[in-house]
Amino acid sequence: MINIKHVVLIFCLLTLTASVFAAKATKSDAEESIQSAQQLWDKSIAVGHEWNTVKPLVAQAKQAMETNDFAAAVALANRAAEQAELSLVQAEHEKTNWVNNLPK
Amino acid sequence: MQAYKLTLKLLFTVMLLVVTSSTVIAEEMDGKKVAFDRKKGNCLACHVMDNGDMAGNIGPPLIVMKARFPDRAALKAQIWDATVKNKISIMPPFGKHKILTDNEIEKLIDYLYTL
Amino acid sequence: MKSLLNTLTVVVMLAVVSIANATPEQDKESFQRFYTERFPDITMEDFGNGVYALDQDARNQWEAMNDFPPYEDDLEKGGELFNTAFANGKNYASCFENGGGNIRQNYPMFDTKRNTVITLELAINECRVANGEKLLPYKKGELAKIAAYMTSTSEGSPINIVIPNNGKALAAYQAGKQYYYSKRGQLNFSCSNCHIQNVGRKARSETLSPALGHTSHFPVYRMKWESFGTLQRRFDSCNKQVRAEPLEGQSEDYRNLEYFLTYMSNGLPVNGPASRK
Repeated sequence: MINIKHVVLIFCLLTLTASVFAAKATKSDAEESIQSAQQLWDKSIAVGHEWNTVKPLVAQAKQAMETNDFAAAVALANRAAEQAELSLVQAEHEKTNWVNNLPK
Repeated sequence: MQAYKLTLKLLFTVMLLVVTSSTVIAEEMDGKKVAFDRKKGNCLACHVMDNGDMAGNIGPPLIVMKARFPDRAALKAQIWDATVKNKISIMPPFGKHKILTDNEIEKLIDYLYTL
Repeated sequence: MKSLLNTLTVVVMLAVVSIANATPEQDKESFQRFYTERFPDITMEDFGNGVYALDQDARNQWEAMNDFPPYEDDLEKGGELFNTAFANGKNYASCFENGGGNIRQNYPMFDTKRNTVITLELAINECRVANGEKLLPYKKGELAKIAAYMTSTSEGSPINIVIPNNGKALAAYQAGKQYYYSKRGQLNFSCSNCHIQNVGRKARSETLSPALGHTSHFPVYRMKWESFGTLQRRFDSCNKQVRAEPLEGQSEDYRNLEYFLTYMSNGLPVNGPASRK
């Protein structure tokens, strides 16, 4: 006897398992993400174009890591890395673009 | 059978909770809030708009937006990265530099088109 | 036709290169001319009053406030600190030309032996270290008070920054210039975006001040800070506003920036310390 309730139940179970697994990120994923964010951030400091939005994101990522919320840690570290990368693009672009800013 | 029904009910409740809590997280500000929030669009810093308090005058007033930007993509491009059109534009590249999310920009544009 | 195009390209390229590599003297002239043409009614001297040269309402409030300058006590304290002997019996005056009086207008200066820019604040701290005293924090506190006192002894003296005609000095100047005109921070602003291209316009209710005269009156007592802050502390505020991380006090980039920016105001009288909102 397969009734609709069974179908619903199985569907529910599958969805729940999927959502749990989708959010699963391991400790080493988080460590890796934070490390690569850190490297890009260091580069942006070295070229003198550090954004002040990166530091808090890295700090939050580390904090999420401490509470074992690895998914959040990865997401935050990725945002930090993305912004640090953008600041490097900005630094490269301004190597020539700055001249356009001179008074005319 | 009774126990089975209970399990089903419980499961539904859990599902409902998961779904609602994620919508709460996903729910973002409406377009006007994005425009006015100092940490988001902060449009008033430079533009007169919608009777906003203490508006700046660095950029043009945000009025008759439909007439000025009949092409939604052109307006989005300007908000995304104004330096494409003008290399030294003071307007922050809201999309390119991740100041606003894509979703926030879409909502912002919806709101701008009411002006 | 092709050769004409080529010639044209070369001419355009040369023009661009020459703006980027103009001599400091040429830079200063076009910088100052930009403001005098934009604001023909403002005297050269008045540019040192920043926003208050452009906005009469703000000026009235500011002048009323200055009937009893908010910095008086701190300035007095700066004088006391300056005149207090170190543990070894020497004092600040022993480190500076003219006993440290009326020299503000010459800073920052380029030290051709060390090949680096020396700001007044750096010189004050080096004087301390040379006499066995500990370093003071840059940007605010006692150091800013001492610098404020020294600035007060230069009241009215024209800013006189010298850029020696040597490669290292010119490179320092050029680095400061490039910093000034480069966009930075998540918001992607250059200093010039606000203070040159949009000078006089309003961000919210704040008038954007002219860069000409920006350095003439530091350290500044800012009501927002409730204390004196050095020029580099003010750089920090600008950087934060564009979401760029501020640099360390007296870092090479900041010193070069201060060198460039102060040179742009050569000829304006020192009129500090001053108060700002």
